[in-house]
Amino acid sequence: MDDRGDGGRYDRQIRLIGPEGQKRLARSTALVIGAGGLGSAVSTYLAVAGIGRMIVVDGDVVEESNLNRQILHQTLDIGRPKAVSAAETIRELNPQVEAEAVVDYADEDNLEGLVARADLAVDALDDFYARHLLNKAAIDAEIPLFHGAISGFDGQVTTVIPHKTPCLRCIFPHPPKRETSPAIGSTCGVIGSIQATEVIKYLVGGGGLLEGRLLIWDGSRGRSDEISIRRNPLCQDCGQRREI
Amino acid sequence: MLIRLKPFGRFRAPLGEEMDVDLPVGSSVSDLLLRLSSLSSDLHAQIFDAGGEVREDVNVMVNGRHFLSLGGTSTPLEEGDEVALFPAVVGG
Repeated sequence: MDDRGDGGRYDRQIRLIGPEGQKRLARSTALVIGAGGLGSAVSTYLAVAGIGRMIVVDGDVVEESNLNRQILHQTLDIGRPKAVSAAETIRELNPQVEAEAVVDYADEDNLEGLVARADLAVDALDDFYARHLLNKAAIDAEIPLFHGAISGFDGQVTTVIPHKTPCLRCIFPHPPKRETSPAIGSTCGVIGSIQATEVIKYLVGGGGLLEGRLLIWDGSRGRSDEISIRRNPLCQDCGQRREI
Repeated sequence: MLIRLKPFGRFRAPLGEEMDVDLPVGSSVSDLLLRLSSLSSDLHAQIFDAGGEVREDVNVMVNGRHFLSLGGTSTPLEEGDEVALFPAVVGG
């Protein structure tokens, strides 16, 4: 172990974010809603980066058909709660991270309490009804929301800063119906990694966040584009306050 | 008047890269989508459902605002407007 007590685990990234940035990560709590494909990628990179605490929320259990992309879980985890499996893997990846499993689906009843305990929320959900609930809860708690979604080789990412950027409901006012999307692990890896990068930049400062921009990833063509997005002044989730 | 169209995702193959679409003055989002859907039956099916409504999984952004938070398909378009057309992506 070196004098920081971490055995030099973070040496390569401290060159990038500095010792103060590393301390900020260690002092932060991330709420990750969903321990599926996106949740696996985001949680993995936030864990190894040394975020202090993670709360992983998922009411589902691991199925064999999850294992092509949900890299927090292994064959032996089939039938176990995803949140528990995820928290265990996070601790194994980095014992310095405090990982809490919440075996429940995010809903109207529990989101307010969950966001109140976090510095930021990561959207790793798979339906827009729940995403809109999380969006509203994050705005009310005034914590940032890091949105990601995938379907096949396609993905999208944006970062929501309450009362500053468009929120998820500004961008997508009506939830499209829930569907079982085709999914391949590498797309989850791309989008989840961008979400994790956004979280780290937000916490340590510097760089430019995906604020007011929806990044569109087209993996089938190996292309990314972005759409400039604007707030909806009449948005039912974030439109009650004056724009900053 | 010219509208700048930016297709993404599954709309890029049939429509290509971003392009200018020439529409009569006073046209709406509906007019633009009907023009695009007239290009092929496949494209029509990708934009409209069997009832002739814009499919739930189609996103249309007019200058950064979703058409459903503006005037829906009646949203008026103006010269130089930028319209993004892309499919809903919901999985995680």
